Amino acid sequence: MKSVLRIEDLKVYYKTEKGLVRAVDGVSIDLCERESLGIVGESGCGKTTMGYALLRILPSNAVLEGSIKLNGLDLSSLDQKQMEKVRGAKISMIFQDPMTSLNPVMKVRDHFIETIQTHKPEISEEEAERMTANMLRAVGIEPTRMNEYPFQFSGGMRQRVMIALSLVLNPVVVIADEPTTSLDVIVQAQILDLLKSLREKFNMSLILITHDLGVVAELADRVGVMYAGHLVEIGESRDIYYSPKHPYTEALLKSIPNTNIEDKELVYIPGGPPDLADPPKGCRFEPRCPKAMPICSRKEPGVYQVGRSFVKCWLYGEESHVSASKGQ
Amino acid sequence: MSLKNYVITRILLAIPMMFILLALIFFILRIMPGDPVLAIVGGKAPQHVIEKLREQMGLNKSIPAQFVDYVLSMLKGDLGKSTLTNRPVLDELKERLPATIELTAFAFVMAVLIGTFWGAEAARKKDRSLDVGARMFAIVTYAIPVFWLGLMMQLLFGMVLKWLPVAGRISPALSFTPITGFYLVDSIIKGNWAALWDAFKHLIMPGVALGLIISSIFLRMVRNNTVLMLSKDFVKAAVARGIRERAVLYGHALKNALVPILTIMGLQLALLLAGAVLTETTFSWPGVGSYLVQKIRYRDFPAIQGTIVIFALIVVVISICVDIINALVDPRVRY
Repeated sequence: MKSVLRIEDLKVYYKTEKGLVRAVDGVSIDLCERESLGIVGESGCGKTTMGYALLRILPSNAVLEGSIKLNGLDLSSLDQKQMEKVRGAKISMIFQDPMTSLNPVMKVRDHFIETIQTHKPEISEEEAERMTANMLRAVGIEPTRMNEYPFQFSGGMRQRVMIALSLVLNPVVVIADEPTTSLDVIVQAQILDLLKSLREKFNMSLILITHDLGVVAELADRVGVMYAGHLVEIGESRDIYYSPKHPYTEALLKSIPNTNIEDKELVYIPGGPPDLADPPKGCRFEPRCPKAMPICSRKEPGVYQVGRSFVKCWLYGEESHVSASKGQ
Repeated sequence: MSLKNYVITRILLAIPMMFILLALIFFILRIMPGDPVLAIVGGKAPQHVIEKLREQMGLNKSIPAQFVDYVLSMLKGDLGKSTLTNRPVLDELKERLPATIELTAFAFVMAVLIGTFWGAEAARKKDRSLDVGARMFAIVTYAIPVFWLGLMMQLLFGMVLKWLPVAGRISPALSFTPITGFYLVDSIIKGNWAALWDAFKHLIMPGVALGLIISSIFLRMVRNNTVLMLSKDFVKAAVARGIRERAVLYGHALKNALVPILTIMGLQLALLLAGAVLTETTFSWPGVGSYLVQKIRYRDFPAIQGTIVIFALIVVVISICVDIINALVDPRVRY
């Protein structure tokens, strides 16, 4: 499959009073056409920062390194003016909280018209309105509601609006940052179904950032697991679920609470993620890892191919020294 | 609720508000020391003259009866006669009001423009020189009393540099006869460009002195609120859709930041009227403010009462306008 987004050795550091916080530290991912990639990890692992980095909407104290190539165009080298042309048109984002992501004093319609005409000033208002109506219909909203204000929509409906808004210019890549976290379970399922069908309809690639492994299982072809700014494992969803390679992935899967009443105890990973201002010298998961070896605390592991997955772990260091740095 | 219903409700609500204001004005003036009759005839007038005048002015009646008389005449638009000039107060105010409106409008527009644009740009360039400068400007202008600022400006621009006239609305040499009383408007209607320029030059100093004081309040509020709005999710989402920086700042952040500020702006416009009293006195500006000062000096009770009623009416009208503008900008207000 053709690759549309190639992230190479992406690093995002935040300059803070404590020093440099390495929120994303050397992540490489290839995203294929029409692929759906899930990025999972616990809070603070750098997954949202990575999403912001792809759109170059990081806060002003962030430093970006590495390259982000969208169909050959290196986004990391563009200035903000050039980036404005890319955002929304070629790569767009669905945010976590639909309640706060729409301008409260602007009609839903005007959000669309503004977005369309910013990127395509040649499109007339009537035409833009027609596009809006089509888009709203596609996400299951009555087009007549476009003249309403965001506060007149429920949370799930607002997220539909946000989805429609991010797709209206038919971008190549859509990043969904925890799109269902703030919604109730029934609405979550509806929104996921919607994303699934729209991805096929609009031929887009989707990056789904979430801490909810269930969401990823539902939607993603491939899954990348992030821990403390590193991509520790990436592979086919099935492989990640049924044969996790990295001890962190394994632990993460075990800690999903299930409704089986036989399991009385919730499993969790002891300890907490490391301080990213002063990360461990070796593997970042080593302090919490049940399978840690002496080398783990001394040296950062490379990326090794194990089956179809790519794993950043010393456990596989001896067996296969394929030092592929990109997850294919 | 539709916008129309909202406006109607808001106007109806203004009626009890105006009534309460009328009552307040009436009773405060009655509590104030000093006898209006004695103020007219002086302390040595014979008793029967005083009694007769008291009767003429309706002051011999009981307070409730006086109140009813007062409210009824107010409803008819009759503000009584000035005891100083014996002319209807309303006529006198009609001559003075355009000058005050012209002055406060100039000051207000200036303050809003400075506050909005400098405030928004300061928010965009937070903690940079433009922002630090805005904060310094706001503190300094807010701390300066308007009359002192006026005097210093007169000294510098009027006396030393001789750029601007120090007092009045227009040079007497132009022998300008007003139509509406708004000199800027009148001179444009007449096509008298010399008068327009002259009237404008007269307006600059008092207008700037008055406007600077409240511009500092707007500036601080717009800046702080815009900084807050720029950190909101919908701003980030707008940026993520590729909306241009300027459109994000003005169309998204500022528009939301202004919602609470609009109310403050309305209240400040009312406060400007109080500021106008000081400014008009400093610059011999023939408006309602200097009229009020003059009338207080002579204890011209009907004139004082009438002026305050007009001020109250203006404040009520402004507050209605503010609410309507608020409803237009922020749809959540009307629902």
